[in-house]
Amino acid sequence: MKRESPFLCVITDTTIQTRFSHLDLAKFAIRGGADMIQLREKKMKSGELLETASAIQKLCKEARVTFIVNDRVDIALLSGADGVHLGQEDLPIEYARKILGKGKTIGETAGSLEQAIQLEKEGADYIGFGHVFPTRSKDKPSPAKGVAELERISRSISIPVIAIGGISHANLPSLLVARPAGIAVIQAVCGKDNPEEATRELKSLLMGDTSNLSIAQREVSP
Amino acid sequence: MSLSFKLYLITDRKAIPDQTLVLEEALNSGVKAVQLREKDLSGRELLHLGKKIRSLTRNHQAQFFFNERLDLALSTEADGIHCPEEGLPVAQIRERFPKVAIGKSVHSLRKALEAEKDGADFVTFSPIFSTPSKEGILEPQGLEQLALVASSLKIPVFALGGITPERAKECVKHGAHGVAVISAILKSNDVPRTVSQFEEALGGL
Repeated sequence: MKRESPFLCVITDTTIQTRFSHLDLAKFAIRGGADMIQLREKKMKSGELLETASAIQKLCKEARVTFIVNDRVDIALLSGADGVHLGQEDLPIEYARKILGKGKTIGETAGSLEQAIQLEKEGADYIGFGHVFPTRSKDKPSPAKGVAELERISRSISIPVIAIGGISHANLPSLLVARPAGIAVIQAVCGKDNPEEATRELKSLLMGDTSNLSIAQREVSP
Repeated sequence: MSLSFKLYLITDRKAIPDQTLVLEEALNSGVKAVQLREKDLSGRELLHLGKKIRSLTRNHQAQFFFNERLDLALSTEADGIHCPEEGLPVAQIRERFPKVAIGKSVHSLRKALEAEKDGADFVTFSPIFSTPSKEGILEPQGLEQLALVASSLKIPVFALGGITPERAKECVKHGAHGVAVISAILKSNDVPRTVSQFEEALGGL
């Protein structure tokens, strides 16, 4: 049976690096073959954030790439994004659903199987599960959840599970046995000298091709 | 939308330990409009606080505005949204939500005219006087500038920044429809008395 390879979500981040804007990163990721872009920005004023989101939405629409806004349901709504990604501290799913309607995608992060099951009940369209590997993107003192747990969750719920947290070019192949619906990365794209090439290589790895991998890609110091 | 209030109370949970009690006291004293403005709370915390203030304002037939966050304004069934100067664009909100009341913070005549053109229902113009919260950030606009803005706009202008009951009277003389306050009420030792002083200065609440 032929199985589709997991999709690639690139989360734009301007805190681990400052050379590229959110829009730059989205452009690179799209050119490199990302299937989904998530705009994650916590500090920008709402007006500028909406402008950024609207610009990325336009690019994504042209390229037929899914565009998700982190946390801000209003920004997702006004920018015409495909959906929103919520954390445990953000608006609950039922409120986001009321605002965005049934046609939009709502994802939320889960840190355990119990949470994942609960979120599926609440109407999430997908779950972000992690962090799968140790990560430095966020201050996360809790231990990495691991590939086995990812596999268990992917099997236990019927909505797509996106693996997140510490995923790199080096450890990505070891993750694929868990068969996540997708993977989400920050550092592995935003933290690279060449985010477009980094995206392209992740995409190749997801399709099971390790031939043209150059892990030699230098990481950018934070 | 016809504005049925002249005194616009803005929250600041850092000003006092138990803000909700003071809000309730202000509403009991007749305050007709509250804006929830809390900068560093998560969406979920804002939802809980917003629901609490929504229920208080509803019980007192007062209007409730959510600062900056349209999603939370919708989620808490607020009467309106109040946009900071660099917040969500008024025109886009107006287009999408014709019935939502929209207030807009402005710090210049140009921005005030723009807000009116974009469909705002009212503006707060600030800071009129020097105020600790904006010290060193924005120069006080003064009463003459307030008069200029108020006479240039058709929509109501609320004076904001360092407003006391005595100064409120001056603001009205200079064309303000009403005033917006934070500490004058939140930090008052006698909230009912302060509210009634504002009522007298403004010719209503």
